[in-house]
Amino acid sequence: MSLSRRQLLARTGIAAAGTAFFGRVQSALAAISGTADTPGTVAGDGSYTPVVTPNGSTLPWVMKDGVKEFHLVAEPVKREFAPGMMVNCWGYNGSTPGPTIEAVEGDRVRILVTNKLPESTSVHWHGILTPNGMDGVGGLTQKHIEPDETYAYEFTLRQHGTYMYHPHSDEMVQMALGMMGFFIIHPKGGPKVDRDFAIFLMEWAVNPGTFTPNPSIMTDFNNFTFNSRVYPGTAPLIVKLNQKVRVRIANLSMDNHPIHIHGHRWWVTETDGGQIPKSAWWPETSVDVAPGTTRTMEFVADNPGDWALHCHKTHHAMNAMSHDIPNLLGVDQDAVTKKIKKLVPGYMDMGSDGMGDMAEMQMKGPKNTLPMMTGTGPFGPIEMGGMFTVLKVRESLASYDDPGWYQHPAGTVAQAVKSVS
Amino acid sequence: MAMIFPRLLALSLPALALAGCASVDPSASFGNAQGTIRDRTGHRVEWSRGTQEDRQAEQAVRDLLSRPLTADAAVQVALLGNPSLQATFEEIGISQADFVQAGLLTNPSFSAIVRFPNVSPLGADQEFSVTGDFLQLFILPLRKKMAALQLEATELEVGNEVLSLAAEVKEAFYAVQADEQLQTRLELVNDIDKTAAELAEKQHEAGNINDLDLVNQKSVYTESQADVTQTRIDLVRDREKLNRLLGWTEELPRWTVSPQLPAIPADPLSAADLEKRALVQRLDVAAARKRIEALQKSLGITEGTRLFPGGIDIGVDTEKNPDRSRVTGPSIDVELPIFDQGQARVATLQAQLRQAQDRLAALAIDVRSEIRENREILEGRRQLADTYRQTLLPQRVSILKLSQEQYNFMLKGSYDLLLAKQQEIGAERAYIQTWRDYWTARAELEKAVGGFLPVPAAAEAKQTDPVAAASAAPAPMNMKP
Repeated sequence: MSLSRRQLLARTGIAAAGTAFFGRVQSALAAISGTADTPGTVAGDGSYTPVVTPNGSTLPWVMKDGVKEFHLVAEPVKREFAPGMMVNCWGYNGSTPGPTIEAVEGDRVRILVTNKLPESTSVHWHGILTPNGMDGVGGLTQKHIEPDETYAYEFTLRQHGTYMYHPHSDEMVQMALGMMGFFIIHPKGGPKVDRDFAIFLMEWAVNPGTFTPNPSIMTDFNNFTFNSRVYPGTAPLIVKLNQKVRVRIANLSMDNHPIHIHGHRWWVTETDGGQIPKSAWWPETSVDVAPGTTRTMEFVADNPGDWALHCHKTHHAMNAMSHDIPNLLGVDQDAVTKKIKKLVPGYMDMGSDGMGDMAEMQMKGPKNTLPMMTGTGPFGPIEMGGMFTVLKVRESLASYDDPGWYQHPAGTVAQAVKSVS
Repeated sequence: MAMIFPRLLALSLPALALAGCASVDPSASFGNAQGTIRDRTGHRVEWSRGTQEDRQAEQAVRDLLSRPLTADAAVQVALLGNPSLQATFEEIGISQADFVQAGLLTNPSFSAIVRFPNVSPLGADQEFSVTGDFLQLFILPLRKKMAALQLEATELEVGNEVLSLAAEVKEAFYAVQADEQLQTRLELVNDIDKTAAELAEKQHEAGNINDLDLVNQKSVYTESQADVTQTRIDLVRDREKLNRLLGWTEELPRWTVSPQLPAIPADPLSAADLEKRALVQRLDVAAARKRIEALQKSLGITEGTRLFPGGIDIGVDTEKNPDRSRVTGPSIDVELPIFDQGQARVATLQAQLRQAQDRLAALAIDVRSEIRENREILEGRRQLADTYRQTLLPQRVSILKLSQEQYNFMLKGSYDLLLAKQQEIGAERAYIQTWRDYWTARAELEKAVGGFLPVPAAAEAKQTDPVAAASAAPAPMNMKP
């Protein structure tokens, strides 16, 4: 990886290789994130519904002389993608994605950025209209923020919408390791929604059995995340029946992701260029979120149930697998399996009748690697992974804690019928 | 006449007494060689000469062949049964006869002449003489000493042949033992390739791979079949080589070898004293020294008698004239050293002596170098075998286990697993070859040192089992040497 070697050496004082460095610094600095439930939102000024960042958090602020002051700390973090897989990432304030910044159009904001990374960084406020010197492009509009330095960005928010923040300094490495976050600007006194979710898309190359993403990979990623978590580590979206729901999706990965919702259609209301006039909203069930953009969708959750919400690229709704294994579909392996078992005890054949069995088998895999497809629902194995979560729409809810599986009214579940042939 | 013979006999008697009466029976000399071999190898050699011992030796050979052979047992069989070795033993018989010959005086010569005059008195003129080489009476003891030295040299040379044979037998034996172990591994590799080919066949039937991929996979199997056949050929060749060395015929029990090569001692062989020991105990070195001594003796004799190449014949001559008078007197017959003063013969021997000395010096250099070389090779192979057994094999076992974990998560395919298994067997194969080479080098070193090197009894205890470590699959055979 192309870390700034000079700075790395200066900081650690040893000629450490990347992994050794991670091991040393992370244990000292990094908090483990992703394991706790989604923390509560930061209450706003009452003019908007606070955003929920599933498996993430919202950045608190303090008011100083009429300026909302936020503090981001860029640092290495350890992120649990799902139970059984811990990844050496970089992020902000102990998490990837970094905490969601929420403000209101017209606010004056000051964001202090402290660099605790082994190399320099900067923060670019993606989509936000700032003075040029606040745009955060290292070398172009400001000096790079060196390790242990703190920079202040200050500007007035002159727009509303779903924006992002991310480094503009050794981008390839810093984004591949998870440095990203939402910057949400609510309209002043705009119509409110009941539930407002923010999901950040990212793809990672974490080789099976390893812990550190490989930033030099350009296309062959094997972990696809919602807020740096993979299914079954992704928190469900809990909503009450007939609530007005907003889902904001941001993408800083190398691919576009068609995010598909079940049981509903949603209206695309915003891009990272801002709000779309209502007359131009369009309904969809799969919204393609291109790299470097955000999309905001709204819908009324009028269909109770447990609804899948996922990227529709099939390999993206799945965990690490090899794309270079022999095709055994339809191959009668029985005789050969017996022979291989003699040579390699513990061997079992896979792939003859499709790969769905994978989800059921409880076999030992490489360490720190999640099964390709996994998860168990009320009716059996769910056979998913990666960019997959569940939208839970319920008629009544005591809280937004996970209400469990949906109880289907009688006669509303598909079931086997006697042969009709 | 009646008068003459006793007188002539009387003259010859002292010479007869000198001649002594050495035996042509080489048993004592062979006994010396037997003793030397026992000291250096702990093994028995027998010279088959139609005696009771022959049958005992044959029985011993049968007994040894009816149990799985070890290297030591194979050496013992060869020492008792190798027909070329029996031919070599006859060198002792020849040397022994030479020794007897050297102690024998040249027979005296008798001559008689009868002449008839053509004027009176017309009686016959009779002349009788007995002559013998007078010089040899002085040379004989020297010649005997020289022959004794040559006999000793022959004993040593025969001993050296036995040691060479022993080394050759050991090398041939380890080759057979390793071939058998290797054959099992190659058959397993073949089995793996066959399985992979069958899987490819099934994939092809299901329409999942194309003709090219199928033929590629099948050709791998065919190649590994060829490897198995080649090993079988190697085994036949190595087995027959050992058969020849053992002197095995089809009347003898068909032998098998113990299934595992002997354990490699855990500690390196001490280099100290090996060279010194070799110069003391190498039989060819000792034989070369004896040959030099014999040449020195021979040179002394030739120098001492150089002026009398034809000897000094001294005799008695008696003549009865026709007038019946008798003249009797001593005779002497000596070559006049006018032209040939023996200088060429002396020069030849001097050159031969220098040659022998140079050869001994060369041999001494060779011995030291052979020892250094073989000892270093031995140590290198011991360490390499150790690396294979303690490091590479467990690594290969662990690679298979980790590959299986990846297979379980569909990160690797069946072919990857089969390949990992094959590489595990490949490591075993390399280990067996090095294991064999260690013992071959040890046999070479024993030959260089001129005697067997005892293997420490504790060797077994220090060995560890490479596959005892948690293994996804047990090795096909117990790798514990």
